[in-house]
Amino acid sequence: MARFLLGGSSADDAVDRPSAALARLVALLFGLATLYYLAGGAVCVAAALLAPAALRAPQGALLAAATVTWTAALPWLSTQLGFDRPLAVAYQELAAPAVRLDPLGDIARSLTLGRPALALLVAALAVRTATARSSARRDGAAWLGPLLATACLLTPVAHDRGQQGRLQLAAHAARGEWSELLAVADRLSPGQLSYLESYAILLALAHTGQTGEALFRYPMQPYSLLRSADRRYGGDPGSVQKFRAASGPQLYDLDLDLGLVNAAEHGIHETLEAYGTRGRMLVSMARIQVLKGRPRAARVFLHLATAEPWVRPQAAALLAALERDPTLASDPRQEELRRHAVTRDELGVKTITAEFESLVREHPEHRLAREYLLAWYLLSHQLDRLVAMLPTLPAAGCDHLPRHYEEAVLVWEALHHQHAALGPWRVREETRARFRQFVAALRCDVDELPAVLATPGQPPDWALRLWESPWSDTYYYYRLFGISGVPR
Amino acid sequence: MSARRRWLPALTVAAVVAAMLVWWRRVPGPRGEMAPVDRTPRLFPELDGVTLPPNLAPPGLRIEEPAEIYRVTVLGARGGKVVAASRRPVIMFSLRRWRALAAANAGADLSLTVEVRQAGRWRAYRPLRMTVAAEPIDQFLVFRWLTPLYSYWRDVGVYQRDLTAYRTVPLLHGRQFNDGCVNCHTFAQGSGRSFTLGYRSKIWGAGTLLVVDGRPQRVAQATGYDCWHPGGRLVTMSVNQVRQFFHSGGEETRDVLDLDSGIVCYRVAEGRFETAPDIAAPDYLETYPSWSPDGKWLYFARAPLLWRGSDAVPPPGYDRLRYSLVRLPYDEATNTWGRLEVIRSGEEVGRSLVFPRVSPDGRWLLYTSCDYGCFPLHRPSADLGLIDLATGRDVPLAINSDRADTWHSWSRNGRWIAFGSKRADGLFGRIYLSYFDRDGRAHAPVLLPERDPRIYDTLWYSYNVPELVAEPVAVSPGRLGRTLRSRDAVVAPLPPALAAPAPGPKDSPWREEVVR
Repeated sequence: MARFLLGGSSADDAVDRPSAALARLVALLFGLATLYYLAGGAVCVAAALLAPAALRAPQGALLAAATVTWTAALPWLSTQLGFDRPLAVAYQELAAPAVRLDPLGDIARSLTLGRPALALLVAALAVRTATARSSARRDGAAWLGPLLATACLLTPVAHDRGQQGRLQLAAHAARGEWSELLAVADRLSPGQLSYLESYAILLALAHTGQTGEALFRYPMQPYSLLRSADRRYGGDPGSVQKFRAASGPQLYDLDLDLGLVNAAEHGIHETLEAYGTRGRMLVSMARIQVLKGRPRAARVFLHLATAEPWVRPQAAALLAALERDPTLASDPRQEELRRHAVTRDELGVKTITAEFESLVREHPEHRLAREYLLAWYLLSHQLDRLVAMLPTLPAAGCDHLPRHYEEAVLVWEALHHQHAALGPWRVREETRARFRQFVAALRCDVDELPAVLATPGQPPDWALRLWESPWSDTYYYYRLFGISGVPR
Repeated sequence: MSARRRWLPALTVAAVVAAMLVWWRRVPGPRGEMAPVDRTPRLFPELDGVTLPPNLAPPGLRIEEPAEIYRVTVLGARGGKVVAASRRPVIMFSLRRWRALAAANAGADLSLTVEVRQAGRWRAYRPLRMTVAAEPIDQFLVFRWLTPLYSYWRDVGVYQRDLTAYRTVPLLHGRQFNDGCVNCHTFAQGSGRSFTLGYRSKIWGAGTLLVVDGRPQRVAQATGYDCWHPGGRLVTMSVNQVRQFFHSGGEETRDVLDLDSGIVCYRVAEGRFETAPDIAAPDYLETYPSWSPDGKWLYFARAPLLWRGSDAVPPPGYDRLRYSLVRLPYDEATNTWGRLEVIRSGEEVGRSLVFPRVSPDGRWLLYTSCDYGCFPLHRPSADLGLIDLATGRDVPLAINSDRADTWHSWSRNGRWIAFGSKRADGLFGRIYLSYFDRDGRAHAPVLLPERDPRIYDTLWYSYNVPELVAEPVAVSPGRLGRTLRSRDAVVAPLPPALAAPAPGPKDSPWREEVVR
């Protein structure tokens, strides 16, 4: 294989046909792309080993240049096509990051990406030593064959099996394919998902109206709400900036979808300032400018977006539409954004709770905002507010509440020793029965229960027996352990 | 056959092909009957009725009319003509020919005619008229260039543009000191050898680069808006506790205010700050100092402090804060101040009046007014205002737009105003140049010209703080950067009446408040 890829160095091979060289080049590029898909950034390290070897083959300069260029471009291409993440973030993920988002996660990622590279390096050294001893010809093909074979064997072993799922999940999130995203998430175990995936899952649940039913089937934490995430870093500009760039279009499209036009504009401005122009963000920014009655400013962003090939058709279409109508009144997406846009300037609003409550107050019919508010109440354990809001929920063709709200009501009742006033709603008997089973499994008295549930995320030692139990998809499990998710 | 002879046929063929290409790509002139179009053409930038400086580089034009061929003829009332043609709707004039035309027609009108070929037929739009002023504008314009929102100072720089050409060079860029912020720049009587340049940096702190007669030094004290006394021995500076915050609704997302501010004077020779009760009163916010040309009056903006003891951002009543225009007499010989005079009360006119600038002849006071606060750039209601200091009357200015118009600067001869405006699109600040005649009338402004006007199509950076300067800056960017990064700095404490500006959250004045 190596002889084919990099060519032999015998006298016969020296007169290499152009078609063979082309086939070799195509196979090399395809192989590297596949290796990148499987092993991620490790392929960039592998390229550094391949390139010097390639130099010794016929058409070696071409192959070496192709190897290096192609592997250097792969992260860019994949992030452009799949995730629309800033280039800096794409490459930052391959190296030791200067700004640490999540130290443990970064170490894990570096190890994951580094394992195949390390394997290649060890194999290369071993093979070189062996070939030197046997005084075999030390040309590219001679020692590269065993090297590639070793790499092919080691790569599947070193391959992070969750990585592919996570990449698929990110791609679906970037394209707004919510059902497909949830289907992928259902296949992944909670341990394979980081907080970035949690944001995407919550986004998918909110868009499909399932937060009340399915939120805790997936790994959720108090900071699993996209808008709460940048506060996780306590205002550290570098971390917030990197998080925003990494979450990219998801976050700003969410802000826009929620109606938080100024927040979206602010965030996009900062990301553009920090990372340069990004196609999808520029289009979102153009839509924001149209919402604000600044079509000429929108044109500037769209002109910039047309320079990026992946976004060019969308940007050009919007530019043409803008020429016809500066308000984009006939554009359904623009109309939807306009319908939900926040108009009140509430400078006192500085907490997420107040921000979402203000949103729902201004646009009570806005389902996405309501879903996010209720999800935030659950994630941040604000049960008084949740219970107070439940009677006002619009009926959706059934007389019972979504399951997680029922579970939250049961916890609230246990904490307050009284029945919650739910208006037209009731808690189903099956939900009550499951809660009773949970309490029984805890093996604590009913009188002890409020004390156990009073402090979210701090279970007593004896409660740990319920870790990863069948109740891990419930609100009360999340309240007890501070995390949720059905093991898969 | 020698090697040279072997190349000869190939070179000949190449020359013939090149000549044929040039002939094929030539822009044909009008033929046949010219059909008149009874309106002026849509142009960017707008030029109809504007007054141009005689020494200004020609504005490149984008003709917003569909056509196959575009031809523009500019005729001078006193003779001379410039013709440019293109297959694309972009016209770029010859700098040399334009200069000759403008020089020959200083004080006279120019007529610009656009002819286009549409579907094989030539049409001529109604000519539009421009005026070339008799008085030139200062040759250089120094401005700040940055993204519309600049929380991280990733690309903030101060640049110098030669108005007689298109050349723009950096004076100091934030990247020279680890993504720092370069801000207000003030020149001593339009001199490129004596000026101040403010900076903020996470490593080197905040301070002022003081350049005196071409020698830079670092003053390790953060100041805001500066102004040189005409004598050149005194620099008056505001000290501002600036905060940025963000609106959740409404057109403008950003807003900026001073939690506290006052004015100090920096003695250049002694390297020390001093102040006076009327420019650093504890119950007032004072900012935007500006000297009259004779150095006998210090003009500034002043507002009562409405939020003493409050640390909230924005503080209560921030949107009711209205600055007044005031002035204070000063005697440089005895270093004494007189009694404060209120020129216009912000409370009385219901607007916040800031950024006073007196014309070089001392007669006109140009300022900016907005609905509240001290940062008109972020207020769409911001307009330029004019007061005749000889009569004390307000003089209407016809150059305002429905977007923010602010950051004005006089040319040394007092005949030109450079100002920043968001009129083009509501978001990005652009620089406009307006002729100011002896009767106090500001003429229709012209956008800062670019050779290729399409630059503005994708320019997502804002210009602000345009300052007209008579001569080029005499200090290189490298030297300014080295001075900023050096350990040598003048450490001059502020007078006790003025506390040093408190750092913002995370030591960055531009960081918004973060609430978990």
